[in-house]
This record gives sequence, structure tokens and C-alpha cells, in this order.
Amino acid sequence: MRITTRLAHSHSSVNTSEQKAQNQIKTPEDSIQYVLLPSNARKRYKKLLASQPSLEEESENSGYNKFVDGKDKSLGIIVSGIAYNYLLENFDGGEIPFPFIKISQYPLPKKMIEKLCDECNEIMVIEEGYPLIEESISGLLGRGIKVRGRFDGSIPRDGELNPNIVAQALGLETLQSNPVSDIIVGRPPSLCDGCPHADTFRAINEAMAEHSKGRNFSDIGCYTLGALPPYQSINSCVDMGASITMAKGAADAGLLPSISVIGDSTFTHSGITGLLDAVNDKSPITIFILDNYTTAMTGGQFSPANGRIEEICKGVGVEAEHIRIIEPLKKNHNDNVRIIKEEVAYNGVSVIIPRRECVVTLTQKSKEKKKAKQ
Amino acid sequence: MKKDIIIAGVGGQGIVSIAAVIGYASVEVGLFLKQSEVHGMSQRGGEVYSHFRLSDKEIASDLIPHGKADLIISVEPMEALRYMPMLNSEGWVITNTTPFINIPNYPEVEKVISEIKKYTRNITVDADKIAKVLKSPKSANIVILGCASPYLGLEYGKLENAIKLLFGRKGEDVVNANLAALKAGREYKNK
Ligand SMILES: Cc1ncc(C[n+]2csc(CCOP(=O)(O)OP(=O)(O)O)c2C)c(N)n1
Repeated sequence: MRITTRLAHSHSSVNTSEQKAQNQIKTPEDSIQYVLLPSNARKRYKKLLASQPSLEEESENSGYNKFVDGKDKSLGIIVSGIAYNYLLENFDGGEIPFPFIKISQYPLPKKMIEKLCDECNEIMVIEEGYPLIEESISGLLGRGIKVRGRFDGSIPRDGELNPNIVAQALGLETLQSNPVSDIIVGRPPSLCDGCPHADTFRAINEAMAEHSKGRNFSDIGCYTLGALPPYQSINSCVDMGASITMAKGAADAGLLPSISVIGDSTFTHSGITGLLDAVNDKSPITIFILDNYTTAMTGGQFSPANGRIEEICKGVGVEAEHIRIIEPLKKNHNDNVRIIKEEVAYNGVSVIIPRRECVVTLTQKSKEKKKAKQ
Repeated sequence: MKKDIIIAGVGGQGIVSIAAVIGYASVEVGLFLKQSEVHGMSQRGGEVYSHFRLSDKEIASDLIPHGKADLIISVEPMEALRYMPMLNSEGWVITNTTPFINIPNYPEVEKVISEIKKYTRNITVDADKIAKVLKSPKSANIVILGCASPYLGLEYGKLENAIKLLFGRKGEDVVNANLAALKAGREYKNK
């Protein structure tokens, strides 16, 4: 399935039926099937290629890819995923005048597409996200039949689709709608009132004020909002784990000091390996492991290293005297700034753990306690 | 029967609960429904909205086309105004008047309300005040739902059932508080 943002954020009622029993446990007949030694990998790749014709056959005939005929051959449509819903919407769920193919299975059904191209003057591809189908059928040179879609500007090159964009692409009338009032302003997401990360960023900003900007490599979590005003404290967020490793890379390349912030939960997911690497090379970086006792951003799940972060850091080889715990609170601000400066000045790996519970989970817990007392 | 509804507010104001109540009620009476919402980062004080579509026929698009919504239900006035381009020419806007001010450049509240009132089909209600009088300040969202209830094309009793289902896990007090909030909103509308 090709997951796109809108698909992931949509729900609907479903019909349920009886649950199937779990498959029997069975190990592969070929016991080295999953051992990708080069010799084996080459064999497996041949096997994969050999199965291609049967997959193509399946794609044409399984019924998941549908060719639906239409009277108006001036345009043939290739549509996939949620874009199909928008196409239908524009015809009130009724008949579509153009011939179209609904793609629901890969590889692309070549024969079906050839038939559509033979019958129609032009092809339009409507797909959410990257124009993958469009690119694969129009090829590098784009000679031959005219393919319209995201590349020729019939549909915007970026951004989510919606029923109105699809209507415009097809030249259908779109409704006049109410104007946007000009007094409206944007409301970006922000850290909660009382969030510990806010106090941490204030302390980091002050401690780092004497250095030029662009040195704080962050990770993904609530603290990624530290990129926005009023903090503007972090300078990167790429994927889980790309915080400690990027700070190490920057320091190795000569950007001194380089620092990194990572949440307690993300640290266990993919921070420990990078930390070990930094320790082995004695890279002069300061790493903030923001311990709010939870995985806040995704809804307050358990954080796997709860209560063991210092032990993990020591186990990986961080020197005990360079593992510092601070409590991110306004009243501790000056002390926290001093501690951060000390560790940033240290020529080796330092870990600072700003530790204070997430205000959301804290309120939830105190409510539960109150209820239990009643 | 077909209703296209925009539910709007600020992260944390309980718009997901409004959607869930309408959702449970629609499933109970066997309607088709599609819902699409913006979660995630926006939960922290950002703008959140949900597209909610109900119909007795199968629904195609997960998103409501611009200018086709029958209803805007908003727990925050500026958020109601934000989605006006979604509303159709016969559509109703039902909104809380208590602003949620967590940005420095929030416009003058009176201006926001008067912009909303330019649309004749509006219901503006201080849901926070009503919820406070009921001693359950967190149910302002359900007060708004109560105001909107006559426009949903769903029986009132089905909404009550949905509230019992949704909040049952949190205990009888929470269920009763929300039932009272729904009723207060409904009665405000009838006044
Ligand atoms: C590979 C991957 N898996 C899952 C996620 C979803 N995700 C976003 S933030 C996050 C963890 C946040 O927890 P933490 O680092 O403790 O920060 P907090 O939100 O508590 O400040 C996860 C799992 C992701 N972004 N990438």
C-alpha cells in the first residue's frame, strides 16, 4: 500500500467479519533463503526477476487494477489511491465520462495502459504525493502520447491533492466560495505552558549565546518545536537518531562546539549507537538527553529507558563526572546555564540530562490520583 | 441524507471528541461516514480541524470540497472564521465565542465575532460560560455539539448513546457531565 498523509489521517466505518486464525509457525524450506551472502543474494535476485512476468500477469488480471470505459476519448485518466476518491467526488460518485484505469496493484498493468493510450488523445495521471506513475509512463524523454499531471503543471507539482484541484485539472467548474477573512492569523503549534523543554532551550540559548548560531543538532519529538520562535534553538531534525551522530560529524569536521538534543525515548530508539561512536572517538560534543519520563509527542507512551539513562550512558563509556543532571525550571536557570557552559567547554563527550516530567502526563496522573481518592 | 461538517478548534479543545460522538451516532443508525483530521504536532496549541461527512449513500472523497460544507462546528471563534471558505451558501456556522488566545497577534475578539455574524446562518454561544455554570469547564466542546445537534440530521437520543459509549470508560460522572453539557447546548439553541 502506498501510504500518503491524507490516507493515514482518514477514517471510516468498516464492515467486520470473523477473525482469521493465526498462520502456523513455519520456517523456510530453503534454510538460507534469508541469508544474503553475495552468492545467495545473486541467486535470489535472479529468482525475483524470474517472477516478474507472473506478477505482471497478476496485475492485469487480478481485478485490483480496473479499466473502466468512457465515451469521451479526448482524455484517458490513470488514477490511484485517494485521488480516485476525489475523481469520483467530482462526478457525484456516478459515471465518469472518460475512460480510466484505477491502479491498486503493482507492477503497473502495461497492457491496460497501452490500451488506454491507443484509445485516447491524451493521458492524465492523478496521484497523491510524488508523480511515480506519471514518471514511469512518460519516461525520461516524454516522447509520444501527451501525458498530463504534475510534471506539465495540470496539477500542482507539490502538495496534497483535494477534490477542487482534481476538478480544476479536468477543467470542471469549481464552486465560488466565501472569501477568507483578512483578520485571521496563523496559529502554529507550540510547546505547552510549563513544558520542561522550554526551560531547557532558554538555558541552552543563553549558554551558547557567545558562539555563532547553527550548532544544535536535534532529533524528533516535542522538542523539535524548539526550531520555532520564541526559542529558535535547534538547527536540524532529519530522522530518529540523526542528532548525536550529526553533532559528532560536525565536531569531527571542526565545528566546535557542537551540541545535540534528543528525547529520552528517541535516545533508546537510536541514540545509544551514536553515543558509543562519539565515546570511542572522544568527540568533543555535549549531548542533552531531554528526560520528561515519557514519549510525549506520540501521546505519552512508556519511555523504555525510564530510570536507567545515566546507567546506559555510563555503560557506553561516558565519564561519570561528565554526566550531569539538571532540573529545567526558571529558578534553576542560572545554575543550569553555568553547568551547560562547563560541559560545552569540556574537550570530550558530555551528557546533560534535563529531567522534569512532561506537564501533560503530570496533569493526567494527578487527575487519576484525585479520582482514586474519591 | 447527506451532511458535510467541518469541526474546528485549537489542539486540546476536544474536537476529536465531538467527531467521535457524531461518528458513533452515525454508525449506530447505519450511515456511511468518512472523516479526515489533522493530528500530531497541531495537538499542541495549533489549529486543528476535521472533515466529517455523513450520508445514506456511499461517500467518495475523504475531504469536503471548498464551498460544500453544510456546517461548521467550532470550539473557537477565529478557527470558525478560518474555514468559512468551506461553507456552502445555505450552510450554518455554530461557534463558541470564548477565544483561545495563545498567540501574540490574535485579532480583536469583537471583530472576529462581527465577521462571523456577517453570515446570517450563525449561532454564537459562550460555551465556556455555560460549561462553567454546569461545573464541568472541560465540556465546552459538547455544549457546542448540543447547539449544533438540530442540524446534524441525527436523532438527539443517538448522540446521548454515543456520549455514553465514548465517555463510559471514564466513569459515570464524566458521562453525566457531558450529557448535561449536550442538553444545555441544545436548550440554548432552542431559546
Ligand atoms: C522511525 C520513526 N518511528 C516513529 C516516529 C514517531 N515519533 C515521533 S516523535 C517520537 C518520540 C518522541 O519521544 P521523545 O524523544 O522522548 O520526545 P518527547 O516527545 O517526549 O519530547 C516518535 C516515536 C518517528 N518520527 N520515526
